[in-house]
Amino acid sequence: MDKRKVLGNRGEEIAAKYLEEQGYKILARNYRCLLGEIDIIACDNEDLVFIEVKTRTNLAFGLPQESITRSKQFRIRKIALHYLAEKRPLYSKYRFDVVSILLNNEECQLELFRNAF
Amino acid sequence: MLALVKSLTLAGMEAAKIQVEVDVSSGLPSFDLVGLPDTAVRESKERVRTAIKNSGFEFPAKRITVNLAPADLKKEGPGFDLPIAVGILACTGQLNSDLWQDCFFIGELSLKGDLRSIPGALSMAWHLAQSNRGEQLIVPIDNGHEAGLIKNAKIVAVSDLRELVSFLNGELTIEPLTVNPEDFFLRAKPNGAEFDMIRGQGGVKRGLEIAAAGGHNVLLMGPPGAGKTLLARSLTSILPPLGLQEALEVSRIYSVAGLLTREHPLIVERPFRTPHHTASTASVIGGGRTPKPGELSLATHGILFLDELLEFRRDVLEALRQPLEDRRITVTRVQASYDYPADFMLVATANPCPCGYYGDRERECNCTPYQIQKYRNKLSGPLLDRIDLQMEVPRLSLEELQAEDNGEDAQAVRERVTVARRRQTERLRSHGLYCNAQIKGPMVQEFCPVNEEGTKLLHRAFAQLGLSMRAHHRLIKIARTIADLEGSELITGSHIAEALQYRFLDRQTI
Repeated sequence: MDKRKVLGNRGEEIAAKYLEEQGYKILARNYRCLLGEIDIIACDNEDLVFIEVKTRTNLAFGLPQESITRSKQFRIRKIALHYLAEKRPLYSKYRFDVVSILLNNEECQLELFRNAF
Repeated sequence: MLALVKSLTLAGMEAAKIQVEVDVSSGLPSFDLVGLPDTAVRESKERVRTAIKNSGFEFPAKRITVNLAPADLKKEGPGFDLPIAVGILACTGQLNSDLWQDCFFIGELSLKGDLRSIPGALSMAWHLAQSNRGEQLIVPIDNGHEAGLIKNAKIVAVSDLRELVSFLNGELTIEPLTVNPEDFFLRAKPNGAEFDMIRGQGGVKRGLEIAAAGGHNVLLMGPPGAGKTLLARSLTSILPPLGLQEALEVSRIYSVAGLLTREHPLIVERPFRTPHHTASTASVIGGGRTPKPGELSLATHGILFLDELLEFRRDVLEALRQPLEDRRITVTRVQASYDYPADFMLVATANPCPCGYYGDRERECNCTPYQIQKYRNKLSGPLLDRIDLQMEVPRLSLEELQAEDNGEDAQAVRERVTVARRRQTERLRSHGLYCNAQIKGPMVQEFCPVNEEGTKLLHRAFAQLGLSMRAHHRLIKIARTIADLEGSELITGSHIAEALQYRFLDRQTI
């Protein structure tokens, strides 16, 4: 398996565990459609939350959260709309969160950005 | 955290206060800039980011929002780099004193963190000095001298971001810069070389002396090779020296146009601008999408020299009309209208006809009257009316050229001119004017008393030459200057008679 995918999956595992600790209820993992993929879809109290997880092992290319560019945000929005249209979940509010994970050997720095964009 | 940083921008000649609001809050890293920025302002994001990083400070990976208020004024140029950088450093706790809140910041940042000069620092310092609240103006080191010319303005010149931060943190003291404008006047050197190099042409030289003394407009007309251009250029050597107030006014225009340097922050010699005849209206008048002062304004208190006047584009010449009368030019664009000074002395040369030899003593002109008429029509009546001294420059014969007569020493002429100009400035002080050419219509009566003999002569000339009201006023103003050169308060018949000599084209018929 691709090294990058392994890292991504590990990050997503860590993120999911962390989110559950924070009281999120995970509804879907790796929701896929033609437009792409959303890492985690969860609900937090009243809100439906679409979560992008970004994992990095070093800062050579900047912080993980810096890679969530405008175009990436736009793509996630479109996938979210697709999800809403397909599943018609009963939530009146929804938002987008970002989890940034910095994995350095066995050390792990995690940061959650609520309502990131 | 929010930081409010004070800055300034240019709106025409004037400076306007701008509040730079910087907010740094947690969230996905982003950098948004709002408040009607133009491209150069928008690009400042990248310069600020890199400059902060390369100066050894931390650029926050947070959500940064910058607003330039008031939001309805167009912000242009790179001068906001510095206030934005200061705002970010203040928000992230990298400045540990509140000194920055009492300062105004202007300046462009290089990627290395060095400060680059921006146009208009002199105007901005002027603006701050007027609403003096003891605030300091932080400027790039290259702008320091021009801004320091303004009394009562506290100017701190810094060379890079790191130096500025040490200053704001109180680790480094930088004394406010004061520049003594007098020092720069020592460097001004009149060149008397040219005026006394010219042989013969006594009549024209006398006319130029009058023009130089009163700041009147001149047209020199004559065949090719007669020495029109040389005469016009030599005028600089007999002009009166620039006064301090005038020098500051001129320097302010040059500052706005971005033409002042660290070595020459004050213009101490009268400007001599020579736009080529292919010049566009915008470059002569001033303008562009975001208006800039043109050649007219840059020639303020000096000479605008239009060589081969009739070769200039018609629209350029006609555009001169209003500034020649008002001594200001208002450039109106969609975004705003700006007022620039245009207080210059017009000096122009032209040939009398297409072949150039009409009226020549030796060579025959082979133009038809129609051709001459068509050629001269480029010089419209209204424009000609505004040219006070119209003189014919004849071609000299060999004997005249070989005669060892260079006329008077340029230094002597310059002294006479300077004395006459001083009289005028003294007389016009209450109106804030410097020379006779600036006298406006209603003031003529007050400042130009003509004796009975002179009045009679004026009436006769008025009737015979069919002079316009404006030509009449201009005639009296020239007579005023002639009287000033003589040291006489009252304008007499002989002064009027001499002034009439210089309306050559009004008298000439083809």
